[in-house]
Amino acid sequence: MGNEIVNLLSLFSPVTFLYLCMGTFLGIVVGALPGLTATMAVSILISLTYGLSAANAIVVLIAVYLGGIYGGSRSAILLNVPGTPSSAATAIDGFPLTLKGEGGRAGVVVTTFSALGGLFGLVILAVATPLIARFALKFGYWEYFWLAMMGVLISASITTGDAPNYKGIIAGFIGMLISCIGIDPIHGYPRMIFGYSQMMGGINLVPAMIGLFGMAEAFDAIKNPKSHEVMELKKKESLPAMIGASFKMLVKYPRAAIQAGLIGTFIGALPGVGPDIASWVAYGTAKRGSKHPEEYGKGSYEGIIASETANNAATSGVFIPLLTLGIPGCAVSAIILGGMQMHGFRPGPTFFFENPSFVYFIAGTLLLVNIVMWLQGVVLTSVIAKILKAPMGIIMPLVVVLCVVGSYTISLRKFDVVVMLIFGLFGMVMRKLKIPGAPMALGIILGSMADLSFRRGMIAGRFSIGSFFARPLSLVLIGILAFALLLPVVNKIRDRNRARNQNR
Amino acid sequence: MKKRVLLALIILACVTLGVFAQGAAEAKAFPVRPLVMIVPFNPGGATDLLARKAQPKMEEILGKPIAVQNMAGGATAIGNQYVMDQAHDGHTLLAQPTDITSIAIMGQSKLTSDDWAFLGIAAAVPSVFVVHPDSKIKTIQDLVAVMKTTKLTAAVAASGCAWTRAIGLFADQLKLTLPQFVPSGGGYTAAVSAMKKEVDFAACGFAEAIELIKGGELRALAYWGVEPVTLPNGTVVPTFGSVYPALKTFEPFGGWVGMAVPKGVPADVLAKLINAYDVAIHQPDFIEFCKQSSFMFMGKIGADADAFAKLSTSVNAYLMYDLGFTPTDPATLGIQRVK
Repeated sequence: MGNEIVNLLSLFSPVTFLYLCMGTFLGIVVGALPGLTATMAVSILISLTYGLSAANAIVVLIAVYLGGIYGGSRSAILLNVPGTPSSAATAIDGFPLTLKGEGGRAGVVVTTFSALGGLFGLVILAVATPLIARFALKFGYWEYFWLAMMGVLISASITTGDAPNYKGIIAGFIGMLISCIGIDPIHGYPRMIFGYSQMMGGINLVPAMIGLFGMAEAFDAIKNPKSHEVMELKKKESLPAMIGASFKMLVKYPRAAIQAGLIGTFIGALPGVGPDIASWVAYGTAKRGSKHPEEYGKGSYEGIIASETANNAATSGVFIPLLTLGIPGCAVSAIILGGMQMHGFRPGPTFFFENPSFVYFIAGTLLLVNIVMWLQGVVLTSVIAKILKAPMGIIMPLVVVLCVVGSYTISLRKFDVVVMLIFGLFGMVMRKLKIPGAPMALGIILGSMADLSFRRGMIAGRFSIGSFFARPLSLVLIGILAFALLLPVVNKIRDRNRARNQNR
Repeated sequence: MKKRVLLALIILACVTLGVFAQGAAEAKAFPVRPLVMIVPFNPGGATDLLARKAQPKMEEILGKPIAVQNMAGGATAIGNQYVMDQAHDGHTLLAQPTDITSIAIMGQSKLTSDDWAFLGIAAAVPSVFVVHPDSKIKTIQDLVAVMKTTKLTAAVAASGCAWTRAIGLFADQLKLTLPQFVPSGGGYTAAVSAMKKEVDFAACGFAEAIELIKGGELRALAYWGVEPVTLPNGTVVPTFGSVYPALKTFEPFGGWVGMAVPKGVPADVLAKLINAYDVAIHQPDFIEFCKQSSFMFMGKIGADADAFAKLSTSVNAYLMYDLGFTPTDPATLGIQRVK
């Protein structure tokens, strides 16, 4: 092993192509099922692919990863349950579209833009890889702290809808607090575990998220069965018509799509960040730049385009530092890196120049997977639309089963199932109080990044807080953050003044 | 209707037979069902890679599938506790890294190496000290000179981790100022921290930084292996012992990765598992993998590995206690000091 020649030609073998198709399909299914994430699927598969040839193994891992990130959008749109953390932003506008009877069309739109996002990222990967990888390394502890704060606060300020802004911020901060539970990685001191050894490892994101979104959704459906009644399709649209419509969106929202592609690729390229945040930042940016921000949260195509373009662009982005420096961009790519190493490929600074054929192979795989994903996604749309016709009395119990199974399989602990149930109840109460769940999920994802980056930055900066404000990149991030937070307030004041002037 | 009854009867018969067959098999031999291999770290690290590399051959020898499951958290305490809580029948294995020598003394777990029967210890991951290529510190002697007077910052994986101990031992033996440690979450991320100039230097596993060193992104000052290594560009990475002979006795120093089951697993089952691990890690492609990845193949098996783990626990626990990383006296945990 290791001496096996892997290059673009490997992709032309029918067996490899078959693996690619199967991997993509598997990824979509796993991604679409709430509780089963791309991370989990890839880490299980890594052992199973060990016996395959290097080319086939790597193709399967990449296909499942890309398919999984895309697949999450399906359940987000159709059930309001994001299948993977990275599609949480998609649910905000995707589900209202389903309620309006446009679920099928929305499905085709996200499929097209997921694939376009991936391809956009691939183009950037092809032309600017060394440049971006270098730039991403300029982000130190201090910038990571601001980036994490940005992620939480942006999602807080855009998900609250009509409710006051502070509710989202409350949810975000509760999430960050939850992320601090467990043995702290800096001093090894247990925090907020209240004597339960099970809590030492902290609250796992996946059970918390499936509780917050999946279980809470099921509770909602029990409480108010009418809330999930999908409106009859207004007009029956044929598949080619929907595909045509999805490409027309590209002409209609070019700015949102290109912005999301750029944001997604770059955030994907930042080591340790990945698609989850990319979709939020892109969604927030799109909303701010939109001509119709009032449509966001009520079924805006621009919104789902932004988040889905970005999270799949990020899947291409993570390969930038992976291939040039051997640094994984997110949890899944760390596993894929492990898979490459097991087959004797050791990406690193010299690898990129010494093995151009392997790099072409990865690029070719990304290209093919995105295309296959698009084809499969479009075909699946009609099938999934049929499933949706099943009564909620059947779908929701299935969601509950998946929630339980999904949270258990993460680490085979009953504790995680309990966590999931608690978060489910929590989610129900939050819905009642009109507190959005998404900032809380993002708080749990990014809380530890904020906490650890802050403390590492303090230690490395010799305990001076000044370094958080002194670095040029930090200042840029602070500027963006302040702008994002203050803009809604300024707008509100302006609107109020205007209303007052008109009354006079 | 009759057909349905018949079908039901057939299914019933099959199920009953199945149950009996299961019972009969249980009496026969280990393993009776698929095994689970718990990796107490995230996928992609040294522990994970070495476990997964051994798994296929072990599967073949034992004749049952082995599912690898990652269960990270609490510096391996979570995975350790999980495997300890399962039936002690040999069906749940734990990929056991060096951290078992430190989690008890760091208060993260009550378990020590005495609670485990090692199938073996496959490989060691010697520690390396790295700096950014632009750093004023060019050699290990430079580092010593600077550390005599200045408190530097040093990225490591976690509080009290193997790489922290490597710096601790170094500073202690050569009478240097301990640096300010910045736990980065992994050896790999520690290396990247040095690369981003977030810290003055970093300590990590040699294997974790080798590609970055070869690529000129990092400069290796010295490493805790036994023989100096010549890089493809001709630069030689010295061992600590080759520069400071006083440090020679500690080499190799760093982390190691083995495989263990809880004590109390029946002797015949343990023997089978040890044999499977023994064969698996002595496969030529396993040894080649270690070499390619800059892991130091150790190949310690069974009781040999137990003794090594015990020694390692004693050395590490007292080192950390003496350096003030922990207030817990190892003696209170039944760990004896080795001279």
